[in-house]
Amino acid sequence: MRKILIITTAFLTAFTIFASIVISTPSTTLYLLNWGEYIDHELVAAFEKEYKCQVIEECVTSSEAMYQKITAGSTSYDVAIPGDYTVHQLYNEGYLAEMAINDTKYENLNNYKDIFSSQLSDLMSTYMVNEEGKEFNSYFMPYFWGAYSMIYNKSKSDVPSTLKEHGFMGLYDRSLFTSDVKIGMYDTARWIVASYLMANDYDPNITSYDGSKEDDLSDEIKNDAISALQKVKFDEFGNDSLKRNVANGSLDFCFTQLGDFFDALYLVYDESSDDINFDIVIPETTSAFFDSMIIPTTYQNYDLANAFINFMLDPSNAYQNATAIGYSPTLKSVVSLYEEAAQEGEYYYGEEGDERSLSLKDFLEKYPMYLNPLVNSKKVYMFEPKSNQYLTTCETVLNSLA
Amino acid sequence: MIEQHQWKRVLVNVFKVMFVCLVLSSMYIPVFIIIYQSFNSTANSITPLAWGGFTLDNFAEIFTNRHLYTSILDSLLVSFWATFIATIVGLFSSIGINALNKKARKAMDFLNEIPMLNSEIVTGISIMIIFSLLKPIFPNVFGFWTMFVAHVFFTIPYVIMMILPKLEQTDESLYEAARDLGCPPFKALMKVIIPSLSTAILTGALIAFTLSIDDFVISFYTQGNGFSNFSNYVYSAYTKKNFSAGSYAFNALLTFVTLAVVFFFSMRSNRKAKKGLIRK
Amino acid sequence: MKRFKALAIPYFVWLVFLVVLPIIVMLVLTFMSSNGMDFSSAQASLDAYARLADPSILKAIWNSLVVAFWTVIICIALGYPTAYFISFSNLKNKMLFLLLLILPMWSNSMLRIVSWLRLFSMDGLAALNLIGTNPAVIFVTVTTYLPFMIFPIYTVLEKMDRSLMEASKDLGVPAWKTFLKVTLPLSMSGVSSGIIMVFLPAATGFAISQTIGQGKVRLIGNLIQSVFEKNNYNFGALLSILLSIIIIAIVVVFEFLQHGKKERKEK
Repeated sequence: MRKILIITTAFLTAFTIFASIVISTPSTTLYLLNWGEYIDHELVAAFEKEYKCQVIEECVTSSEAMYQKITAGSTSYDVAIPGDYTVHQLYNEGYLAEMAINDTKYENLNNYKDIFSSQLSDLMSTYMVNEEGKEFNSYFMPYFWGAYSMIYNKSKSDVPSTLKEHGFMGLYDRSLFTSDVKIGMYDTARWIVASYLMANDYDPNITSYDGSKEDDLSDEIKNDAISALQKVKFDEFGNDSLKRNVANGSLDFCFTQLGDFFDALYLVYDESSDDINFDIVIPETTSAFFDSMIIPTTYQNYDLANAFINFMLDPSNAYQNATAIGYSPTLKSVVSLYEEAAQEGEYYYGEEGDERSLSLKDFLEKYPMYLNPLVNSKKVYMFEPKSNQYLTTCETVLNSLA
Repeated sequence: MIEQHQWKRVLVNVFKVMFVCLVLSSMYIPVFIIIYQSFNSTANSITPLAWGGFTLDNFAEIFTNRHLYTSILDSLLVSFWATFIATIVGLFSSIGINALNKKARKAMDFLNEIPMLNSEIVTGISIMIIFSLLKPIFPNVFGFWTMFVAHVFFTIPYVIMMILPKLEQTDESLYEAARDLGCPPFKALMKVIIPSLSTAILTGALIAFTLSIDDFVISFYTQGNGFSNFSNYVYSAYTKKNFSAGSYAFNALLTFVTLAVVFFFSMRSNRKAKKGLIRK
Repeated sequence: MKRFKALAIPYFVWLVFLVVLPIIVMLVLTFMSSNGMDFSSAQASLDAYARLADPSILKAIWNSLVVAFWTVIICIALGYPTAYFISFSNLKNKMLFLLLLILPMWSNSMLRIVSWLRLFSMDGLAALNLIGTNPAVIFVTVTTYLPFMIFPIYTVLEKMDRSLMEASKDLGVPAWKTFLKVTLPLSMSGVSSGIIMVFLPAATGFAISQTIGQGKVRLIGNLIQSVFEKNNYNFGALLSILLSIIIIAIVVVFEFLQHGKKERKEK
């Protein structure tokens, strides 16, 4: 009896010591709240090495979950990368800490005013303003950006042309297609309502058809969205899995964000020699989005958080990050790095002579929206922060499918 | 006539074997897929289950992918400690419950059943809420401690469920005899009662460990500060391109090790049995 | 051994702290409108109760019960014969069979679910459109929890006094009648604990419906999970309490039926 107890305790202690050594966190830790597949892990490793710290990353799949984790989660994060309207909401509710923009140690934070692409800066000055109409740019640093779009598989011949012609309406009207198509939708309630509104050529932020913006979605829009959803019967609700399923042909097209397309493109380039059988369409009426690095007021290590953001904003690091992830870079300097490299004939994928290689120049010509997501769009909106009531109503719309 | 009868029996037996095999196969298909994936160089490819060639790299991933091995160690750490504590607490609580009078016993039985009858999701949320109340005082409470408390909480009832019935059957006169011989009460308990429960204790501990290591929902709500477990790693990563195929390899390795251990012990017991026969 | 009563006290305190206290906190939460667990801006409110009127909640609960019901039925249909055949076979090594049943459980359940998902989305099987349907969710739930049905039944069958069946056989009762009149009633206790052990996780889980259902199969577990994810602890607490009440009510009714039957028979 005693022997068993002694052996067990000895084993447990030994294992605990072993595990704590292996897991052991260097004395400093940076808690990062991120989306899945949204940072180059080599870059994180480089940061860890340079600052002798450990970055612990946690991932979420929706803006609402990001908000929840920051405001009421079980971890106090040092850096998070929420989307535009969540940043706005967090700022309004006082959850954002101002960055050390005057600290000379962090030179990339210093000159934040003129580092972002002009199109993005315009959007920021229109949408990201506080109640007094002033910008609060020292509270967030844009990370990647893009536009809401659709990825489609080329196997059905009428899908590309129909989507180009009808934009997001293709998501909600199966009769536009000659054959039976499989459609995927993001399982984010707010995006469903927004995509429905944009499909019908409305501003995605309105709450009633007369264009007003109230606290709650009007019953009219709500009921129309519900009946539209019930009529179209999406074949899949998901997030990360959607792009994979379009790429492998289990879906014909899906609603998504621009970066998802390039991510899927990399995946296919990486693992098979198949032809790229899918493409992207950004409708003329769409919304832009950008995600920003922020420091929540609950931070544990303010200096390290600033250092991390500064590190990620460094042009060469941001360039490496962008090439690894596939979302569109926000920094002017990175865009010019791309253009420079294209001039120099650098290869985007593979090497010269390799059958499967793609030069950066060809890539940028084929996909101009990579550096300029809004190149084909005429009407561009951005999502505005919404009340809880509004979000609950969006949930009801999504849940109506149960 | 007799021949026909035999035919019928053979048919019935064939049916039985087929049925059992069918049921077993429904449980083994995912296990085979896991093993297949653990040797597949494109385990995480866009085309599901595409075979990209044989590789052992996935097994190396177990030791090189930090996300993966941290989650495995986290899992083991919580499950080992939770099993250990739950078994000890469950054992002594069973002795206590067994000593209660009828009324108190009924109330205790009922309370003890709640964690088992309550759905995992509600248990997880309950514990998350309790610890959230502590967050203003201990901002970093989520992590090992929350998950450990949660696992102890939901495994104790199973330990008690295993031990209590055996305890009821235990002959109290054994304990009385030890006492009459001048043994102090606690020593009598340790020397007489507890050894007689050893099988029940072991079963209880095994059940506790099996439930704890495989838990997903309760750990989902009690993880935090970078401390998670293997199930939650799989859940959060399986749609992603950096999902480590080492997960399959780890799981396959566990299956192989279990098989080897089982095989070893059954061989040994067989040999022992044979030796016994010869001696006779 | 009566002197060891005191040993039950720590566990009692522990249970009160982790069972009773959360219920109280959750009850309080349902009558408020707060931002998660942050009570600084909390107000008394019945919003959570107002949201119950949303028909999708009733649908999710109903769908959970349907999925759990069919899971239980299929588990009995597959599990009872399996346990019976093994227990009544003249195999020398029954332990080996039990081991074969336990071995899959040593594989991580999340990973097994993901494996099913991959299998269902393979080229050949994808054409069947299994993913995202109730039957697929039920099927995977069955394969995940089937051992929980087989083991209790097997244990009861093993303990059963074989001389009863032999006596019945000697009296010339046909085998199927022996089964219906002797074996089945005596093994009901195993079946009923199996039912509870399968029904509970099947009705309340969210991993399988999330993974295999691909957002199209929404069970009450998914709903609760998504509500907590949206930081609405008030409505989430209400749904949790509601779910507990429903589950406990079902178990109580079920046990009452079992118990009632026994008592009537004894009379």
